[in-house]
Amino acid sequence: MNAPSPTRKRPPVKAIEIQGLNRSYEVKGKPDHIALKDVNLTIPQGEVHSLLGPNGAGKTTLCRILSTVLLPTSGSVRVMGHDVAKEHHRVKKCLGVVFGGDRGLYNQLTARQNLNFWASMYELGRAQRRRRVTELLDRVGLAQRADEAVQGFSRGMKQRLHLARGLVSSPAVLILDEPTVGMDPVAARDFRDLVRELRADGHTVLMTTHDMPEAAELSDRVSFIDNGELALTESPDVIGNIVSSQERIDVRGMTDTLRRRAAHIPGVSSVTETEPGLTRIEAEFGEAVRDVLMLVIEAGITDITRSRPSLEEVYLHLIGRRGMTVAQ
Amino acid sequence: MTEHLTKRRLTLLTGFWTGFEFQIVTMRGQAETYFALITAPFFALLYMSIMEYSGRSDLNTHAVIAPMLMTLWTAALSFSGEMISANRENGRLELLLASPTSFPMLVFGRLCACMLLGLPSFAMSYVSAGLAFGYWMPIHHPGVFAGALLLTALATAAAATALSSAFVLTLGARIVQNTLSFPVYLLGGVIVPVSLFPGWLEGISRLVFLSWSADLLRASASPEPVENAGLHFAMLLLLGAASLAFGLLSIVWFLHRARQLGALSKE
Repeated sequence: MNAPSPTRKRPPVKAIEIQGLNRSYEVKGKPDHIALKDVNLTIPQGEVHSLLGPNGAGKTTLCRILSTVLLPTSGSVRVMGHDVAKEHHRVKKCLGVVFGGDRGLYNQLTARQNLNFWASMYELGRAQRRRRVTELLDRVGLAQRADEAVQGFSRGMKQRLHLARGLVSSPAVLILDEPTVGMDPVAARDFRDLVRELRADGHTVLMTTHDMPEAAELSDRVSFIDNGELALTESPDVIGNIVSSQERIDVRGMTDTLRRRAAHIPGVSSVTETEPGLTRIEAEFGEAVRDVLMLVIEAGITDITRSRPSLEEVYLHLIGRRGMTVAQ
Repeated sequence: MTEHLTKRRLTLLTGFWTGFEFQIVTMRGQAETYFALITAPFFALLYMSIMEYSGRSDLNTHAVIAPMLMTLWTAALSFSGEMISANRENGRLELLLASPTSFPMLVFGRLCACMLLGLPSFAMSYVSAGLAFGYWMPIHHPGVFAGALLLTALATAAAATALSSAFVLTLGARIVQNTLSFPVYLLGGVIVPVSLFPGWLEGISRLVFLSWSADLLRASASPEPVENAGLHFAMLLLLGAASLAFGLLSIVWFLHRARQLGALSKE
């Protein structure tokens, strides 16, 4: 038997590896509240991954466990190969955390003093700290306000400072818990650019968000979580196929006759006028779609748009419409 | 293994210095930090009045030193509680714990910086007694005085670190703060010398580091040689070190428990 080659490369360490994770809380006089139930998730290095789900679904609990401030009830959670329960000191060194909202800063201190403090907390030397803080303030657009007390900052500015705080150690893995809450559209766009830059630099990002377009735009993969259980993990490009085998074709300028003919094509499930002049045809992928397109084009119509269910529709399909009700 | 220990030591030191520097920066811009100082001259005047008008001017040293020790303990109590509860309320506690630096050492470093308030409080007490009663406390043994002051500050910070551990799981710090001020002043012999207590109480008082501090500080103002200085310093060091060890370990234990219970955030 041949001995394994010493030059053989080991498979790259997964950025995040979660196996059979359960987390429950004791509630006096009641059964335990189960926050996470048998969660399995693997995120390779360099991936931007979004976690989607309603309030109380378990997103923040998962982020807290990953950031070592909450222990799992059972199961294994590893960040860059280190166990969050047994090797939390090593995990902390390769992790940056940004929890949502504008809390978490020292309001009486300036933006620079805040970042300086957090850079010390991540064990950066004095010179390195000075350089990194200046660089980050510039990167999040706060260089001009660097020496002003944070208490005068808007919510969006505080959020930017939070992001800078999370990046202070240039972590391999960044956990962002609803990072764009309270940001104005310009700041949110800048944030998306920043996440793209982070991905280009090889960082792994796990982000929780309610913003579906943001998740679709930024993520390599998304996971849906509900009632503490992962419902689905997939790329946003193909995720629509999972909940629907239908493709939708929006056509402007169809006559009633043409609509009736389209409805008779095998594989077409619905033909509806969604607004005056605009017809939506839902048809199975493949031949049905091809036949519909041929019919419309032969009629001389060129205003045609093809689409698949959006991430928001997938979310609603998987999680359901529960209005204002918070998950139990 | 050696490398791991070196790294661990570095993390502990980083925690201490980060806390110390941070507290200095924070205190500079915060008026409420100095509230603890306001009481020092008033207490000095009160105690001086009592000593002078009861014909016990031989105890004037007590009247000048007591307000400084009281300021140190008040500041330590106040900061130790606020440090955990304010960070929890502002959502910073979890972030602090998610960073690699030692949190218990951060707390100890911050509390040590708070102890710098001891110097201005002594100055205010000293000047108040001098201006109002013409008593300018002499310091015949400056080395003993400086050493006792330094060790007292460190021991107070250590004791406050131990207290702060209780606030990890307890949301209300105020009751503890209010309960632990005067009993400690009394048991620490801050105002009334421990040697004047009944025997059984003196025994208990000797477990409170302040009783050794107060003796040393007062002895440094006397022209006679300081008796048993070595024993006093050793006891101060021992009680301070024990408090620190207990404080650091109990914070680690309470944090672990809080991570199990999910009690770190206020949500």
